[in-house]
Amino acid sequence: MASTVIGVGITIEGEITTEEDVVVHGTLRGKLETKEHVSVEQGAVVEADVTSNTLMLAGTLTGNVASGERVDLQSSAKLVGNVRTARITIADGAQFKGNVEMDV
Amino acid sequence: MADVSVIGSTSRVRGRITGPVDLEIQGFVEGEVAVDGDVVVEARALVAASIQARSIVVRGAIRGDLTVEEAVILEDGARVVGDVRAQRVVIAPGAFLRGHVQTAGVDTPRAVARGQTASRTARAPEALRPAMLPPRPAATPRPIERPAVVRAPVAQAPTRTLEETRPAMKTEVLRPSPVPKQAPPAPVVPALKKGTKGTFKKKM
Repeated sequence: MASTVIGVGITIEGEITTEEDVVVHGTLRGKLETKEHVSVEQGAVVEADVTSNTLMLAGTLTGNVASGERVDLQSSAKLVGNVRTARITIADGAQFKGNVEMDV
Repeated sequence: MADVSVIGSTSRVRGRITGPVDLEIQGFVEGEVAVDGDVVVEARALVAASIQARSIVVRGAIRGDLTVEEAVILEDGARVVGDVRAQRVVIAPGAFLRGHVQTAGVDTPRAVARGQTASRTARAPEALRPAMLPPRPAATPRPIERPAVVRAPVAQAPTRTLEETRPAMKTEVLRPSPVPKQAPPAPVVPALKKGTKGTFKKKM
């Protein structure tokens, strides 16, 4: 399935709404909404509220996260913002500041 | 892989996309695109944005101006409403374009006479098949408007000196309008001239 890729070096300022996977290597400011998976790769900078089913974070994210299923923070991740999800994993070394709200 | 950015087919981006990279648009983009790379607008893409890029290949729909360093290639199925500025502009058979086109070699269309601009823009993609010429008239309404501004004073100057020649001038003015098959621009030109002449008559 084709997905949306924000490549290295690209900057999107605005809003992305989609129904497919989103891979961020570059910079995104604004809002990101998908029904599928979001991966924020190492080196990526996201300053946006992210809504997704699952989120894999290896880069930097500033903003609130709402993921239906799960959120995974890799060791290189840096997250400033509140997380609302069903399951969350935080790897050793990940930087995180914010509230976690796990839906029971 | 990471170098190519893709806006997927179900994606909607509203805002600004910038960067020194290539971009492939399959979905919906609204706002502004300014990249220093190659942009491909795929068949089902809808773009309501001005695009600046090194080159653009269009198979989908764009509403906005294209400002490109190298080449704009409108392939079969492309629908573009907006001005196109590029070194080279390629319009393939089956592509649709409405807007002003400017290629390399015609930097000052106002200074150049009507016929010359038309021939030069036609010459630019000379290597291309003649089948590409039909879309070109659709792209020329604006070049026509510019010479029209030049024509107007020419028509007015003699009317001041020789009133008898007015009918002749009118017929001359009216002649070019039926010749090109572009209904919208043609009526506008005579309508303007009639109005301006009328005011001049009253003043004199």
